[in-house]
Amino acid sequence: MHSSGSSLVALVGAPNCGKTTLYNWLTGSKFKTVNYPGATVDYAIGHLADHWKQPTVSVLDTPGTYSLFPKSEDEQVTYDVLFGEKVPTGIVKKVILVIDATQMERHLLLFEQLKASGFSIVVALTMVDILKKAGLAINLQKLETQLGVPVQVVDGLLGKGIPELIAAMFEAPLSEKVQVVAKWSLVDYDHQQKRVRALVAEVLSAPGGREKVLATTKKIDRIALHPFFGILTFFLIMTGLFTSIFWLATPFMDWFDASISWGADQAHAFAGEGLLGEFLSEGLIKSFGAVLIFVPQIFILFFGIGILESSGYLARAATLIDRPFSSLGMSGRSFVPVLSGFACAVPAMMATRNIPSKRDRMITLFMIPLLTCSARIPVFALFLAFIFVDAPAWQAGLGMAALYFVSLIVGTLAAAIINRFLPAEPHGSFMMELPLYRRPRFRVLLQQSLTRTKSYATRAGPVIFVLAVVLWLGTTFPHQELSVSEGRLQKSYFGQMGHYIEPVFEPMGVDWRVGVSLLTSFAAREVFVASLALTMDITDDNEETMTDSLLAQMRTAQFSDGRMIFTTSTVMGLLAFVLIALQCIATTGVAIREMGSWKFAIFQLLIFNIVAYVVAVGIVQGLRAFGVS
Amino acid sequence: MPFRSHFGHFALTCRTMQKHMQKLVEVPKGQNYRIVNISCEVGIHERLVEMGISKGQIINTQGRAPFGGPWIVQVGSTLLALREGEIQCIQVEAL
Repeated sequence: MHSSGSSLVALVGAPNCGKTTLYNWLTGSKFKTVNYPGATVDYAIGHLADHWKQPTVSVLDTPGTYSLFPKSEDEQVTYDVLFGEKVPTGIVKKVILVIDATQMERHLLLFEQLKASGFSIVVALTMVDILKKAGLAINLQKLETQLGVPVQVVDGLLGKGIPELIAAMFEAPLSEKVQVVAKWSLVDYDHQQKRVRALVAEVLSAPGGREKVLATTKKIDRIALHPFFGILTFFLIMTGLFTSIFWLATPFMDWFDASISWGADQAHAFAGEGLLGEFLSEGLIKSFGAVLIFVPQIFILFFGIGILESSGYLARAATLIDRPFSSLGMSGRSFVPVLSGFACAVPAMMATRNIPSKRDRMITLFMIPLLTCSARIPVFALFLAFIFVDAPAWQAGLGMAALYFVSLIVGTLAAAIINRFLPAEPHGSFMMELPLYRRPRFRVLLQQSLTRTKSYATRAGPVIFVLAVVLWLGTTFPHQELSVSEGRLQKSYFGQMGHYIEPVFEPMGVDWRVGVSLLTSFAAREVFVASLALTMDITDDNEETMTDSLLAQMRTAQFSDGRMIFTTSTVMGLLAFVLIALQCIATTGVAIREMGSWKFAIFQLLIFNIVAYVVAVGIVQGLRAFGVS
Repeated sequence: MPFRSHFGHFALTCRTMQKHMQKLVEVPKGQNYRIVNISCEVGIHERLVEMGISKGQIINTQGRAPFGGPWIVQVGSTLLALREGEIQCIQVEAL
């Protein structure tokens, strides 16, 4: 987003200081974000909301940082933004430093560093209500005089103090000579901390009575971190999150599904029976539909993680999981990325940026694509429907749950294996702040999850478009004049290619059509179903019956010598293949960027697919050896 | 020389404080102590300091997460979860 350098304001603060809530108050709904869950891993930029009736100013949100001496990738982002390295946003002219009033001793250190760098600062003081409730008072005037910059109390819940903060921000001078502050030594820290502590003692009444601030939080932690009740709570919350992803999303997904079919029909009607109509409806709208259908699930996951994060529970969950994860070479900090991995590997990999240890981060990045992401769901659903034909619905549901569980085991195994091969690091690290428990702000969360979902969909858009075009061209040309029943597909580029690669898929017990579908789904897994429908000559326009007619077609599909293609053994093999294989261009793209090594990303791509193939062949041949067809 | 004076200071600290100095991980939980020494690798030390753990601060442990997981410690009104390896090096004295 464009911004004129003279009016760029950055919001800076430690993790959990209430920065994101303040950002929402300032920018309203008018912001563009590249955020992903777990942390504000990229910076977000927006404009001051219109209702504040002020001149246009760009406001930049930065990932939480404890200091200006970055120790993890996300702290590095803040550093780069502030000191103008590799950032297209322009030069930061003013800083709003968000300080949690209950954590002043620590957060004021960041103030000293910003001031030493030469930034023009306005301090926004949050959580003052919590201090008040605990019977503590803060002398704002004294604080302002001592710091030498404006200090404004803001209430994240009610929005009090925001107009005053904006006014103070406009009045503040522009930063002049900004320069990188020299790294503090331990002696510097010691010295600065003494100063800051003395300052806080001066402005905060009854520092001895600060126990009260933590009273409720400690009470809740007695349960949340309890060896029995803590783990029980953890499982209940996670089960709740995942069931709601499915149950709550279903009506929305059905609605999406119907709209997509309707859209495809409209396009067909509009553009007529020719190639253009086919391209619009079969190629474009349905390919987009195949991806958009996950939007409700992804939104619910983002929203759920948002609730857990802003209430303070996520830090406890990470603490609980730290020990088990550390035996796999990861840490509790890998928890959010792993959790997000069940929705989509792309945001999950980006969420690894707040893992300071390179090694922990590498292992987490390595195992994430093995977790059952939402793109695998339609593929699994199709195969489960095939296996559990005429069986009660709960059996297929149980099958789906089992697949999730198996993917978790496979991911765990992969982490444990790679853990053995990576060179050991002397100290892994966890070190996490457990924020005070707070009531989540639903309005902010709703907005945040909507923006995140939107940016997920817009990022995926171009890839899907290109893919849709390639897939359609490949299955239509060079004999576009033939109808589908005349074998247009068999003679198409993809069809011809399919015949060449058939020997590769032969050991998996499937023919070239399934092979081509698997290959096309390397672009994105969810394409598999649409692709199989295309190669199986399903031309039914109605989405509802498309699945049904695809299933019917699968039941009768034969090799040229009359053997059945889809049998219990081959479908089991395919399930295993899709479970393990890394069939996603976007994931590998992000892996290259996040791992900082294309070699490791290519290794990941190759090894997952080779293992997937070997396991699938093993299952098919093994089952057949035991007489399962 | 800095080395000698440093060492001298260290020796003195050891002699006068030996009786009172304890490891944070060994003191009863929920009771306040003062941090007298942090002796660990610089990287960890810096991060501890950033999180608010430094010499002279009042600290207590709240117990441990299940499975021998991280320790929960309180410094001022901050709660932190730290691995055993990260707090082994913190030495405290009774108030």
